Amino acid sequence: MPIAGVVVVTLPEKTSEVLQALKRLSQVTTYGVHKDNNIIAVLESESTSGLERLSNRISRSIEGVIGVFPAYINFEDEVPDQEPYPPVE
Amino acid sequence: MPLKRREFLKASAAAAAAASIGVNLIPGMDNKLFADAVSWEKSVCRFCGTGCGVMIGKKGDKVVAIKGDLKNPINKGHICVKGFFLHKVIYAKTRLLYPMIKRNGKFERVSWDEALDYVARRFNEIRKTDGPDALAFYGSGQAETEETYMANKLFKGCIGTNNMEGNPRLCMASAVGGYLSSLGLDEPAGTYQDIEHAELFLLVGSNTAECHPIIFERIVRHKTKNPTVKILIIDPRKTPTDQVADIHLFPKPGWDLAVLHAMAHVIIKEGYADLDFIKNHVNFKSNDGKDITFEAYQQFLEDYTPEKAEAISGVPAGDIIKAARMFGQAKTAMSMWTMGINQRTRGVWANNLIHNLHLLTGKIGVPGSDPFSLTGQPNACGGVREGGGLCHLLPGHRKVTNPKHREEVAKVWGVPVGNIQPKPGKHTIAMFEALNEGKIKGIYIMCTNPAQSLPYAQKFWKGLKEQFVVLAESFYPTATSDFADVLLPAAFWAEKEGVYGCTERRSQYMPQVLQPMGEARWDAWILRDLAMRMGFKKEFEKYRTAEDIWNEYISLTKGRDMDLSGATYARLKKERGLVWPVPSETHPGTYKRYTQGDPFFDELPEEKKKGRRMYFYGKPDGKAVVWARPAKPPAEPTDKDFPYALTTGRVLEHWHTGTMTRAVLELARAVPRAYVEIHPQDARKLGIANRDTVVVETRRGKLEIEARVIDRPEPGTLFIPWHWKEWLANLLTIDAFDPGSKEPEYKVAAARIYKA
Repeated sequence: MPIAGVVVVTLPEKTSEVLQALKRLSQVTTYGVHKDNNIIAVLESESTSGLERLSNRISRSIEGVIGVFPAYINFEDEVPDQEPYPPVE
Repeated sequence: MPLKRREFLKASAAAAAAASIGVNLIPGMDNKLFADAVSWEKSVCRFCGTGCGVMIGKKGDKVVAIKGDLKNPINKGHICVKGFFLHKVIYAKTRLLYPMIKRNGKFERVSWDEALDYVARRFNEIRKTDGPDALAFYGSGQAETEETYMANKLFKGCIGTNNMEGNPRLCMASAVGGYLSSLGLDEPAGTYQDIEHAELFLLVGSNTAECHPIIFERIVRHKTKNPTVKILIIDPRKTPTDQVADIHLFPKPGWDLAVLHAMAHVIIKEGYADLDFIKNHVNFKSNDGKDITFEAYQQFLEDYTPEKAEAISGVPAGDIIKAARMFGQAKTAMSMWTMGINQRTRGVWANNLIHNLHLLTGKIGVPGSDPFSLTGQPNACGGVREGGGLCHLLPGHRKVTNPKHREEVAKVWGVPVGNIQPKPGKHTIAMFEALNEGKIKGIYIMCTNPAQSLPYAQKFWKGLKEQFVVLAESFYPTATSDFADVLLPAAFWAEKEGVYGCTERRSQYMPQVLQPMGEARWDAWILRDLAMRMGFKKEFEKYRTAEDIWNEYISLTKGRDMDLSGATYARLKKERGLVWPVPSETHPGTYKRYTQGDPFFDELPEEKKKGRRMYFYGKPDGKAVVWARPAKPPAEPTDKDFPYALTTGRVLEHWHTGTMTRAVLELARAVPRAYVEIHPQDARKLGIANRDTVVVETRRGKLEIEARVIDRPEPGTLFIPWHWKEWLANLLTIDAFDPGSKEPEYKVAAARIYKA
C-alpha cells in the first residue's frame, strides 16, 4: 500500500482553509503547518494510481493550493518480481 | 503489512517531507528513519532539465522507494509528481528486453552478436559504397554524457561524418544561439541560487508550474517569504503558473518580439537603463552584425513604441509599459524561458531580446539577476551542448570548423585529424530530409523518438521507412520502432552509471543500482561493441569503465570555458554535483560567470578588468551585445483560410513522446488522451461544445481530437499537448526552422478547427 510524504504549499492567506479541507480527506494525515504556508501531510492509498488521483484532487480541487510536492514515496508492495527471462533460442 | 510497520513508514514519510523544508518533525527519530532493510543511493531524476536529486531506495534487488535528496541544493528534498512513478518506468511492461532484427516485416529476436554483426556489416557497406556522409547518428538530451561521447567519437572521429545530431536541436538550439551571440559563450551566467535573490521574475514562453515544478516551487516559496517579489509572465496561454502572476501579457503566438523591444523602449525612455554598465560592458549591433551606437539603437526602438507593439502583438500598450516599469524598477531580475521562445523561426532573436533587457539594465552578474534559459531534458546541456553532440560541435564547446579544435580532439581520441571533417554535418531537419532523399542511407538513433517528435512528422516517415534504421531504446513499441530495421535494448535509468549536466551548469553523478532488465546493455557499451565490430578496435577497446570515458572527456574540457577537469568521479560520487568551470580537484565550482569568482575572470590581466564588474571573455573586447533585431512574424501567420494560431506543449503528467510516462498506468489514466484547448468565445462562434470531437487542420495534415473548451488559450489560439502517438500533434506542426539555430517552429502554425 503506497505512502507518500508531501509538502502542500498554499497561498499564505488560504493556509488554514486548506488545512481544514485536507483534514476532511480520509486518506490524508496532516502533521501541522510549518514555516508559514507549508502543510506536512502523508497520503495513503491502495495503489499508486490512487495516490496520484489524491494528489491531483488536492492540487486541483482545493482552492489556495499552489502545489503538492512529494518528498518520499514508498511502494514496496507494488514492485513486481521481474519475470524470468527465457534464453535466446 | 503489519500496522506497526505501516505506522513506521507513515512517520518516515512525514519526517522526510518535513525535513525537506528544514523542519525536524519527530525529534530524536532521525537516525532511525529508513534504517530498515532499504538501502539508499543518491542519483538524479530522469525527467526534465532541472536536475533534481533523488534517493533511490533498494530492498533486495528491487527499487522500492524514491525520496527527494535533502542534501541536493536544487530541490532540497522535493520532487514533482512524476517522481511518484519513477520506479514504475523501470518496471514498465513496455521495456525492450532483447535485440531484434526485422525480417519480412516482423521483428525476430536475435542474439547481441547477430544484431551487432549485422549493423556493423550494413554500416560498413554503406560507408564503403556511398561514403561516410551516407551514415548518421541521432541522439538525445536524455543520454548520459559518456554515451554521447562514445557516439561522437565513433561517428565524427572514426566513421568520419559530422552527421551527428540530437534532439536538443529541437528544444535548446535557439537558446545556444542566443547565449553565443549576446554573451559570447553558451549556457547561463548564473545559477538557481539567483532565485532566492531576485526581486522580479520574467517568465516568457514557459509554463514553469507544469514543466519545471520544482523551480516553480522555489519561486513561489521565495515570493511567499518576500511578498514584494513580482512575477511577470509573457505567454499566449494562461497556465497554472498564473496562480502567482502579478501581470500576464498575452501576445499573439509568434508576435512577441515587438513586446520585448517595446519594454526596452520604455526602459530607456523612462530612465531605467544602467548607463554606466552599458558604457563599460555592452556593444550595440544591427541585425547584419555591424556596430551601431546606443543612439542608433534607440532610434531603431522608435519602431517599437508600446502603441506600435500593441498593434503588432495584440498586447495593450498600458500592460507593456507596466511590465517594463516593473522590470526597470526591480533591483534584481531573473528571466526564465523555454520552448515558447526557443521553438520559433526567430528563436535566436527572441533570446537576444531577453538578453537585451538584462544588458540595458545591468541586471546580470549580480545575485538575483540573470537571463536564465530553462532546459527541457536532463542532459541536453551536459551531454549534447557541452559534449558536442551536434553536427557543428566537438566536445568541450569546440567547433568542427576550427582546425585547432579538430587537432585537440583527434589527439585525445587517437584518430588521424583528417578523420574529422572541417564542415558541419547536416542539422536535424536536413538530416531527415537527406534520409527522405536517399542521401543518408543508414542512421543510428539512440534514446529518442523522432518519428513522433519531428515537426511535420509524417513528411519524414518516408526516409525512415526506406533507409536502414538502427534504434537503441529502452522501450518498445514507439513511433520510431515501427520504422526500425534493428532494435537494440538499452539499459534504463538506475541500471547504468554516468553523468547528467543540468540547466545550471551542474554535472551530477548517477550510480548503477540495478542490473539491466532482460538483455539490455548500457548504450556506451553497445556503441563500443559496434565500433570494434566495424574495425575500430584500437580506438575503443581501451574503455573498460564508465569512469574511463568520463576521465577522457573531462581531459578535453581542461582550459575550456566549461572546464570540468576538476569534476572527477571520486568527487561527483560524494558531492551533489559541481557547477562548471571547475578547473581543479580543489575548486568548489562557479556560481557566476564573467565576474569575480569565475576563475577565467579572476585570471584576466588587471587592465582588462579595469572599470568593469563583468568581462564577457567569449567576445573579442569582453563586451556583450545588445542586438537590434527586427520583429519578424512567425513563418506561417494566420489568414482567412487558417485563422487560428496552433501551439503545442506539455502537461504535468506526461513527458515528451510519452514513452516513459504513458507506460505508467496511473499517469496514462490521469491524462489518457490528447485534446485541443479552445477559448469559450471561439467555441461558441463555431458551435463547439466541451468534449465534442473536432478536426484541427493545418496545411500539412488534420487530426480528429476531443475539444476542451477552456479560457486557457486566448481567443484565436489553440493548444494541443503532443505526448500521444495516436493523436499526433506533429502531423500539424510546421518544419520551418530558425535560420541561425536550425530549431523548428513547433509553437506556431496556422490552423482551422471544425466539428467532426
